[in-house]
Amino acid sequence: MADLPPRSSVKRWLVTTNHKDIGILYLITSIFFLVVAGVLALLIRLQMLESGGTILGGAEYNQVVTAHGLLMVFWFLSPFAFAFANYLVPLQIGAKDLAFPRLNAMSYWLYLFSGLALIASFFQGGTHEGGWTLYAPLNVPAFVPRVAEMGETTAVIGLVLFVTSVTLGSVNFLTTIYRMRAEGLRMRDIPLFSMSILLTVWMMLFAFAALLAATILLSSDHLLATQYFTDEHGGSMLWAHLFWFFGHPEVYIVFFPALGAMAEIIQTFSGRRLVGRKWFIIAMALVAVQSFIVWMHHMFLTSINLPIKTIFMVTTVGISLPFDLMVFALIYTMIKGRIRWKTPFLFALGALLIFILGGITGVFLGAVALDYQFRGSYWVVAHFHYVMASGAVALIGGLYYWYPKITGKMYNEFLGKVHFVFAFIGFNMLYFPMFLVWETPRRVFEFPEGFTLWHQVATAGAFLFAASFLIMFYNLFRSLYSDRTVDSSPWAYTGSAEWAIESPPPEGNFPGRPSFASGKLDFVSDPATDGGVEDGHAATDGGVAHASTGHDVHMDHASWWPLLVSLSGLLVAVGIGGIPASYVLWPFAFALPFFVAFLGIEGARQDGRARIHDLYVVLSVPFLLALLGGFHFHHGLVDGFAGANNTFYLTLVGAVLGAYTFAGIGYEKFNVPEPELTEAWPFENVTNTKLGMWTFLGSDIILFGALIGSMIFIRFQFGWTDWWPAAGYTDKAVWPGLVNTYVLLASSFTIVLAYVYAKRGSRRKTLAFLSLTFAGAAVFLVNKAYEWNELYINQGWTHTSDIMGSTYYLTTGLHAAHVIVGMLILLFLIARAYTGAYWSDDEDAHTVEYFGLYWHFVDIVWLFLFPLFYIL
Amino acid sequence: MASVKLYTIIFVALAAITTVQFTLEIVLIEEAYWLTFGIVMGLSTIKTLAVAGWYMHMLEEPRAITYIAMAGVLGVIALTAGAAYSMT
Repeated sequence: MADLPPRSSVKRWLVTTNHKDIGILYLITSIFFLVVAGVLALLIRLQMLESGGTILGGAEYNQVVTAHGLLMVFWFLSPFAFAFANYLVPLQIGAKDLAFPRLNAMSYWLYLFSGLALIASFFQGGTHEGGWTLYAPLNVPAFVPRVAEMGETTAVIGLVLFVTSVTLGSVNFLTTIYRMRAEGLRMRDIPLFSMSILLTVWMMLFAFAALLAATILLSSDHLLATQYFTDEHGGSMLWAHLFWFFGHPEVYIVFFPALGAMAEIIQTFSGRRLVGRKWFIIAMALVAVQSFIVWMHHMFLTSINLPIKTIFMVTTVGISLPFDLMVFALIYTMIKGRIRWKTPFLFALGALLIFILGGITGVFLGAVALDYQFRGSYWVVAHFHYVMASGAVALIGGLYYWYPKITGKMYNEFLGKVHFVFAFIGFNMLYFPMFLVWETPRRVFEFPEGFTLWHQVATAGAFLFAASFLIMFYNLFRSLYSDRTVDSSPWAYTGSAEWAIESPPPEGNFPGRPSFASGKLDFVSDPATDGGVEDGHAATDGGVAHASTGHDVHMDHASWWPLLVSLSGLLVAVGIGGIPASYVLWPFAFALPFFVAFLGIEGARQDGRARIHDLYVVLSVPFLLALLGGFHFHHGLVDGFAGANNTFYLTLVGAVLGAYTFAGIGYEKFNVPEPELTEAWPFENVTNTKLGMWTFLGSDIILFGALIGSMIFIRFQFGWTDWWPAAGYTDKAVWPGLVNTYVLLASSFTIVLAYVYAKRGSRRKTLAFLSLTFAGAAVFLVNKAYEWNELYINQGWTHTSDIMGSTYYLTTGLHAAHVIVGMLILLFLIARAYTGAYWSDDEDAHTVEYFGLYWHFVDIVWLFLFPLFYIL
Repeated sequence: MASVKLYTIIFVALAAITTVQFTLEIVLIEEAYWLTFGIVMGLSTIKTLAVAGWYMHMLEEPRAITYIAMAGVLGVIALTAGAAYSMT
């Protein structure tokens, strides 16, 4: 790791891709967002001291409530858990890092900047006011105070950035856990925390894709004035379905890592293995699947029909059953063990008690008749805080549990227990009264006078709960500089691999190659790489292993690109909300020629100057001029630029920076060798990159499926066969769709042939078929431009004309955006193939195959857009 | 990885099926909309299976890769069908 500065250097924290560093960054950042959201919570409680509180005005109160919910759910709870996941999962499974370290760093920076974008939205006229669920139609410009339009949009775009971060993280963790387990570590034997993370990222992969679809549609309604969520044929219901299809799995996404931490802590401090471990895991897996078929229990008060309510009541009761098993497994483990009442255990036990109450009160909400009464009341507020905050309480236990491992220092046990007592009492003072005065209406600060005392108790509890964290901050900070150093494990009865190495772990993680082949953890010094040591096994049985480290290969690197790519996202996020609709796409269009030029420049720097690089730089000029011509046609060149506001230029800078950084990250030499001798069931014969691509596509299936499904949903409400006759065009021809289907199929064919000839080592044919694929994509776009010109300009049927126009232009437009992204990647591949990549190395040829997976997926999406938007 | 010949045959078949879909739009949709709907969507599904199976090499990959894609497809079907049915 020669290229990583020391931890005392600020630069280290800006460029690091090391999983432990990223874990620490997540930890600090998530606690920062906890503090921000916590202060907002205290403002809410001050407002609720008495009915009609005057600390905040109505609009300000709504913003505070909304931002509190968004920040706690998205920017604190899950990222706090993923701080531990980043730090611990590679250690627990015996890997040196995550599968894609740069992607991991990018996940972190996107997470940080997305949160900053949300906070920035407060200062752009006001953030969203409609609650963390962003229910329609209160989430669209027509129902937003004009002054807050930009802030609202920034909040939504911030959410899009956050979901992007989550998706990258999910792909990374799935690939890592499936493909990089130490030799002999079967999937069923991985530690419970890592198992909980595995199931969490599966849920994340699919659930957040639905949220991404929802937020893309919402962004479009804001930026381009499409009509998805204002449409009278179920627009509001569409949001509810998309949001809760994500939203209910999100509950378990938040809670599962805490459950994993609880299980680890309870095992350690009970001194025995979890009772019914196998069934505990099966129950978790069952919940992960079931979580996708309960979403409509959040919609019992909407216009969905009674049979579907009944079905979802049954599925909701069904999902509580595996939880019963898990809770009893934890309780029985404690009963069968000898408990040591340390701080982590106290928090785990406290979290379990809180969760039990939260779970039971949730079952009430799953019953249709009871939900009619409780929905929209403080019963819901109390219930979900008992569930969600129990996860936070368990992870605080996790923080105490793994603090010695991360820092090498032991915290002050007495202060830890004082923190627990204050936190537990404060938490219950805060939330239990809400059950007693459950008839208080949710989201408003007016309630019957008789409830005042209990709300004041809750406010006192809130401050006690908050104060307890000051004790924790003091304790953990002071302990960093104490002399209470710890060795590998300060706890007895630990069983997972992170406790077998020194604290904090060295940068290479292990003193040798971890192996479970003998049935227990050994660190093996491989003869092939350490100069011929025959017997390098080092038994660990709880202590620190000392084996030769001669075989260590540095796989971590420093890179500025993840930070810079994410920074471009932040600039776009805080700028785009202020751009008038007619200007919105121009910054991204202008970034395209810059990307082409940067490809040429970076290519020449990294691969040596070649004619292809010169060509790219030269061609970028007429490309830019053509775009300026288009801009002139649209707005007038001088008047257009003079009339553009500052946010346009901010977005333009962000887009161009994005173009530069994507070219840079593409060309950066960043090798992450795949470890040999790992357990990779059930993906033994695929590479990490291929598995990563497939998991990404799994998520993309949900994304595009939800976009297409949104059209289908609204068309159902509208009347399926009445749909196109009611659209505002005069004549919409089928043949442009037909031609584009042929063209895309042909480009799928040519990209396969590019891969075939790369494998065969043919430079000429590899280049030819890559170029033909690019040409096919170009023909596709030209044909689409012709079609859109006919419909949009000549016939006047625009994306704002009617809901058919909104769905047609946005869905096919997003598909076209995928085509454009593919073309940009193709330009990169063509340049690299020109200078010797892919065709000269059999392994390297797979890069063309990986791109092909993406390209074929884009083709497949079109195979459904063609019938749905042209034939039927 | 299959042969160039097989890839070519698949491309020709995909183009032919597309032509059939277009032809149905001309000759059948006015008389039997829902029959056309079923055939056209069924043909799109067949085309998808061909692209995924051969061009994306899903047939040669571990079965677990197919399960990832199927999980996504099932999620989409659950969301779309559940949401559409809920409003009937």
